[in-house]
Amino acid sequence: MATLLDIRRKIRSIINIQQMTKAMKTVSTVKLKRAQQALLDNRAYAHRLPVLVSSIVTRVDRSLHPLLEKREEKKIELIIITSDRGLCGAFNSKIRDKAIEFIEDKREKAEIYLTLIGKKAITYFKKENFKVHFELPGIFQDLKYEKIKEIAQSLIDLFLKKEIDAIYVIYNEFRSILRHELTVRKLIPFEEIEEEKEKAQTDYIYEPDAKTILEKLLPSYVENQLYHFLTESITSEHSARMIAMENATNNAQELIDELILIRNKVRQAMITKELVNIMTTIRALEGR
Amino acid sequence: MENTKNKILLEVITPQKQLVKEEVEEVTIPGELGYLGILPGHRPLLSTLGYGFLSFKTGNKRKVLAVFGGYVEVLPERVLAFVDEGRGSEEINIEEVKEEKKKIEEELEKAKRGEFKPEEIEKILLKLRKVLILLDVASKKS
Repeated sequence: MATLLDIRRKIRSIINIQQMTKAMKTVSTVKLKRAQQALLDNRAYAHRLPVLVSSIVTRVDRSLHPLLEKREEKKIELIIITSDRGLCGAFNSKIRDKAIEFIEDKREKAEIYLTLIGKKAITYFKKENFKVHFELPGIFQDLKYEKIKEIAQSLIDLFLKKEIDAIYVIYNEFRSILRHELTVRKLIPFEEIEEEKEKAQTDYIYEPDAKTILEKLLPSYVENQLYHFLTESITSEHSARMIAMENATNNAQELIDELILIRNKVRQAMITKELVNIMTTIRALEGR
Repeated sequence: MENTKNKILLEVITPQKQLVKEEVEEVTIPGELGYLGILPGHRPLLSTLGYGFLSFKTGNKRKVLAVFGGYVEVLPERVLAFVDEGRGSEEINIEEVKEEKKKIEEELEKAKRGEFKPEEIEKILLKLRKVLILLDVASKKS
């Protein structure tokens, strides 16, 4: 049986762990608040830009811009967005499973290339003999639009050189603090919206002209969407970590309560034993 | 119905936030090729945005924003501007902008002495245009 000293030591170390998880939870809460605000402010733009793009795509001839070209999807680029750091529950493992499912599904008909964002994706998928185009570790520490612009441009270049035919993204989309949703999105080629087709007879007046607008709009669309997916992911990550740390703190409390109970019992047992000892000694002395 | 006919919904959004969502009577947009005046019932139009003032009128009030690049989609009942960067007059800190202007002017002095490449000078001039627009918009605050 554990001695009183052992139990006390254990309690102390669990209290230390609990303090750490508590602190991490607080940090995540603060980070989450900031990320959530930035995300909500960004959403109006990020959600409506695709509507604009597809309503143009529905109206114009696809030969107008090389990015609009639709080819059979034989080479697919899959962008996997995970986190750099762990301790956020099933956040990364779910992404990983979904990515593997996606790859298994498409593998027979297409070659798959990967763009790995976040250290967790890199450490996992590099082991597994996949063809990797780009790796972006540590991007979340200081999420800069310029950096995303670069990577978006490299992906666009690959598409224009016909080295890839489509780009898909897997990421966590933030719903609420308690919920984020695994999401798969197609980034390129651009899809038409069916409902717009009827309205499409009335074309826009383009200023200066459709080609010039598309030349500016399409690349910035890809950048903007990619940036948006990353902000969705990082907000989900903070919320996942906050919840994970909250659970860890609660579990530590349960353990502490349990151990305190045991400690008290052991201490009581020792006291009782000592009392019994004293009593027997007294009896023995009296009896003499 | 009569009422809504004379109005057009104006929305201005940047990647950072929504700047305007308002029913207005008239909008002026800084298109890349020149200013566009939009009234309710305009034909569908799509344009890139330049640097300049986006102003709109509701009742007797006229408001002005500084906008820098982006796109605008005009439909008969709605104007939706995707602005790369934009600021309302109340968001502009004149002191800060003046400070910035000073710095840019210093850079221009250096440029005159031939310390920069042509591309860099272009960037500086673009910054100067931006600052001038901001100052102009800020001065319309009243």
